[in-house]
Amino acid sequence: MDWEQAKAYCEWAGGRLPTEAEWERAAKGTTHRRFPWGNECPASWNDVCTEVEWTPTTARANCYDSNCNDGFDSTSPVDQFPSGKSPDGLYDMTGNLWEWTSDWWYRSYTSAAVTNPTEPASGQDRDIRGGGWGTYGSRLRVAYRANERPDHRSSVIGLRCASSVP
Amino acid sequence: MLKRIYFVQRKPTISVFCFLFMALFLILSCETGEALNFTPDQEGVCPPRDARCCPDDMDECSFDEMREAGKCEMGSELDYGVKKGRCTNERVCRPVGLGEGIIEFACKERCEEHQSACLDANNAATCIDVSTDTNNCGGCFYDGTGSRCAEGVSCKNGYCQLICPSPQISCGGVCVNPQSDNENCGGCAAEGRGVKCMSGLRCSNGECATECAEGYVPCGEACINPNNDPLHCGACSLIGQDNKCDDGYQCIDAECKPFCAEACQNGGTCSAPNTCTCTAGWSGDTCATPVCSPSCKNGGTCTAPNTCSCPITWLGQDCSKPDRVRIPASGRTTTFIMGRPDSDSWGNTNEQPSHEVTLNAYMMDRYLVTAASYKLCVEAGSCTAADTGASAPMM
Repeated sequence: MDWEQAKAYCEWAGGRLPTEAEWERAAKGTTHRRFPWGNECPASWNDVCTEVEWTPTTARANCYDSNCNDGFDSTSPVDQFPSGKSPDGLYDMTGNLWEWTSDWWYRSYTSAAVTNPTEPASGQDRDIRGGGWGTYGSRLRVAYRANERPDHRSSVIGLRCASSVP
Repeated sequence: MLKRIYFVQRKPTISVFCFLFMALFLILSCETGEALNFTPDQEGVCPPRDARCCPDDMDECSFDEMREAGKCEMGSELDYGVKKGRCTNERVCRPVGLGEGIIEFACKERCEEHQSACLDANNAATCIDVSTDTNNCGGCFYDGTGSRCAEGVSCKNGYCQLICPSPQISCGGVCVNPQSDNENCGGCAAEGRGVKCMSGLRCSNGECATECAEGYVPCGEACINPNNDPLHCGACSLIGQDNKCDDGYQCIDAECKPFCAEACQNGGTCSAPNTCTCTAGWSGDTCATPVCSPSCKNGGTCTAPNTCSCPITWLGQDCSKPDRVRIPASGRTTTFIMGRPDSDSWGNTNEQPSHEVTLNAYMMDRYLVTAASYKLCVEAGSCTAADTGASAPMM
């Protein structure tokens, strides 16, 4: 679905799309970690992940082929990977589907400390986060950023909704 | 994706059900050139409409011809399952609805072991227990594998059976009282279970005897129990004094009471022949259907009075609340380090500099939005169809 459709869904479901900052906070908790579940790679693949010792247990996320050893050729049920939950108990924060955020894409962080960032005011692309079922494992990191045209419809981009606490 | 199989009628039909009985005479139209590949968790056409369903040189073929060609392997006729290479993830091909001259099939969850995929009164496909369902007794009515029991007749073990109020039993299509029927004493004589009492003996408490047993009184040529005999309820029916209960009534404690062939459940009472008056929270002919008020939303099913079983991602008594997590769990704000700190050497420059960010507390969906949830939004008219690509995980 495209960005407008994602936005319409969240409004129907009594919410809104999350900001990029809200997404990242939900994925990592309050302290830095590489993946929602911690610093261990989702599976052992041979590039960057060799620097972290990996013990094969259960798959933690749905990503590209052997990068995640998840057993799914495309999307997976939304409660498939409990061992990949974020500190706040959210599933599939990385992997399975990219997620639209409400922010326009901007290239680099500039501010040192901010409150409720929603920048910038306009742009060409929307910020997407999380990585999908066809994404390399290294892009399942919670800090990884990507962008996509708002009118792009793809089988790898989905969404989750947020809402404000009154 | 849901497609249809069209049956082309050779004769005009009066009703859909006439049409169904003619199923064997109908022609299944196969579309040529279209090969459909089933992918996990996707609905698809089944039996496949591609030309490979039919014998090689035929564009159209009947079910029998199709099966004979061996190109589409049909599963059990009861559920029209297509087993090989078609529906995946344990799904089977099932009818999902019936329109005028059309049966739609799709890959659906398999029915439970004791159930078959039949069409209900609204021609919607449901998994039905054909051992007890009066409209699909012994099999589905729509495909001729089962029958529809007449009014007042119940389905038991897959057979339509006349249900008689105790102490009567079904015998040759009528209800008889084996406790006092001289022709069927102790059981249905035609079924070899009881006996016909010899001349001079009378059936009393299920045995042929010279005298009426305790609790039984002489009544013409018979011994009757006025407490439970619907022909002699309260007293022997004599000429000019008819103590027979009306049809649909039984005799309980010497009084005629309405009889419900299928027992009223969940505290319901039989208030008129085959009519249950249900207690609060229940509905249906036998009070077996729970009522949820408010009704279950977002694809939830009512499993007990005011209890909805919600699909994953939805919560609340009526499944109207998305499953969202509060971040932070408590407190009005949350502060975290956004981006990749220098201590983590692995990543891109646009993830830096890392910086402290404070957010007002917010809620976030615990799960990705499912295709099923998105479809609900489309059906509500608030979303447009996500026509390119699978937009969200299937359940």
